[in-house]
Amino acid sequence: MSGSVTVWRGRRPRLATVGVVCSVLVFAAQTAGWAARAITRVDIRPGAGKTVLALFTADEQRLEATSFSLQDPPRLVFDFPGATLDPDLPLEIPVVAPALRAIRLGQFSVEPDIARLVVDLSEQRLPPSWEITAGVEPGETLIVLRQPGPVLLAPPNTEIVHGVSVVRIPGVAQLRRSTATLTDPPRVYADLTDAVLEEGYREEFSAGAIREIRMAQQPADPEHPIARIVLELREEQAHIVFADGPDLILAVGPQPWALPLARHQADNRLEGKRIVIDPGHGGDDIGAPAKFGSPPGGPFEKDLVLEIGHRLAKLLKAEGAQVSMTREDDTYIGLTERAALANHQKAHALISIHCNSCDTPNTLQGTSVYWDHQHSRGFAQLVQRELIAALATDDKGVRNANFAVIRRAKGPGILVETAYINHDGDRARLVHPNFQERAARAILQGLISFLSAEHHGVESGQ
Amino acid sequence: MSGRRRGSRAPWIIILVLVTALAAAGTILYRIYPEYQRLRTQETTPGSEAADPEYATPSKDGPKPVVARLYFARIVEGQQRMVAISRELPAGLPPAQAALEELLRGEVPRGCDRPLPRGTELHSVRVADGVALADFSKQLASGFRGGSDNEGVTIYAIVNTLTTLPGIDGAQILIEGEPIQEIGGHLYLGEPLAFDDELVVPHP
Repeated sequence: MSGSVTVWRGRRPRLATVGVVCSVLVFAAQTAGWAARAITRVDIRPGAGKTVLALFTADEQRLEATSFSLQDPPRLVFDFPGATLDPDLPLEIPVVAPALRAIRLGQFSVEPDIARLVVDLSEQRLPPSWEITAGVEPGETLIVLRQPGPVLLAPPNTEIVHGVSVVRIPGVAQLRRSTATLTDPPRVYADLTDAVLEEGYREEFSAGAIREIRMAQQPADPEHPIARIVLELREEQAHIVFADGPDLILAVGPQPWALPLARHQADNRLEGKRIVIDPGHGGDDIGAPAKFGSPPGGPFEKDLVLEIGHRLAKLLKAEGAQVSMTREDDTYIGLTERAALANHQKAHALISIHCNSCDTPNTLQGTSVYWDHQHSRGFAQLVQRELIAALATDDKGVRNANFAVIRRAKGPGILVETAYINHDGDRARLVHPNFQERAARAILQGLISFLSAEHHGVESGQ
Repeated sequence: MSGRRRGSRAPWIIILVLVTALAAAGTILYRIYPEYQRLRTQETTPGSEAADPEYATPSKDGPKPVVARLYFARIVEGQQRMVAISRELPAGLPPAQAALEELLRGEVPRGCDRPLPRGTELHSVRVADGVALADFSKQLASGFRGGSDNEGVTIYAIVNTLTTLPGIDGAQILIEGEPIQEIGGHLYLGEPLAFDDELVVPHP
């Protein structure tokens, strides 16, 4: 009996020794990179001035990392020795940030295991600075990409199309901008934030609405340099500003909104978003007529807003959104039903489209956007800004109103008054297909800005 | 001695108690009687404007003049807006009816426009439970010329004029005696609306 007890007592230290040795071996193997660590999740957290990539591992251990940048095309490379990728991870993750194009994941090598993450950068931007730090959660590794440098501004290309001077500034469509007019001499200028010039620019023109174009750096916050482009005009003219793919276009001359448009370049920017378009009126409800009387004279509001609605639906679908319309043809829909559709769909946004009118023809003109719930106010402002820039209509601002469609919609909703149908100048715009298309594209651009800003707001609030 | 004393004190105490009770009753009556009168004449619950000295309260003693706030259309800086003016209502009509008749037929302030479509007639206004039901002729809808702010001004000229009268908290618009959904495709009229000053600008 006692012997067996002695045997047991003699074994215990040996088992303990084996355990310790095994632990040391496993630890050594891990640190030496023999045992691979699986990356199971990559989160992208957009924020003000930076984008953070958070990587998580299955064993909740932090990753070793090396990093470097490459050119042609510009990209950042992060290698993780001793790491493998979970097969469920996507190979490419699209990024919503001005200077980043995409994030790609791949297994750079096996034995030794090296996982690789590549950040594709915009060619128009200086590369961001980056650092690798530990996150708060166990096994969380952070790659912090700081606000990229400003865009290097290229000289504009100018041509005259149908008597309108068209100035194209390459690669700056997504920059924050503000435009305004000055007098004596008449000028139009655009301030582009986060843009720099290598040298000043000045060019005179002998034909067209523009006498001279100048570009110069404005004194501003050194973190956000502002470049100003000034168009000096021969005489006062209407101007519009719009994005054509990556380029920004300033067009000056008679009826610039009538200019033909290039094909819309969709980029799946609204994938998974449910959008409801509500063309106002319809059927027996003609909306506002062009001419009062009995019977009233056309065109009628109900037809013009349906046309703009169809154009917007086409653009939204091209951007990957799920689109519903309260009416697709000339039928009347009740006010409460319109909002009910948006609520039933749990729409990310509701856009009601109208033409304005007033009692006395040719007294009022211009564009305005209405909101009701506070969460729609910014949406209205973004769409109004795009509409005014694209349409060269009078800016009547955004306004709070308890209109039934936007009051009863639970999600973000706006009511757009495109222009006055009983004002001759506005009506000439409203009936023009290119104006209708520009209005639809402006609403689309405002919607994209709103939904991406909302996304950022939610993320940074975490 | 003590018995006589008690006897002589008792009437004084009774008189004191009676006087106090009368004073209290008088005070209470004095306070609630005007409310009672108002409730009797208006058959409504008192609004928050009841204490506003601007509004005279009609009573059985004879019609005191009612001063109403009337809302008229006005174009200000290229936008369709409305302004409020104070006007004494003519005697002899219920204030709600008199105020709407002023919008339809009364003097239009300089620089302003009549807020309701031409040809519109008021059939009746009745007030129940603080809600005014204003019944207009069909021209209110058929004569409406469209436009978002224009619709806001037409509807809220009616609603604001009514809801600034004492005892009226909401107003619903009927046409030819029937409830309606809308007149111009923006505002839902199938329920009472409350005062809204979004389109109201100061009268210059």
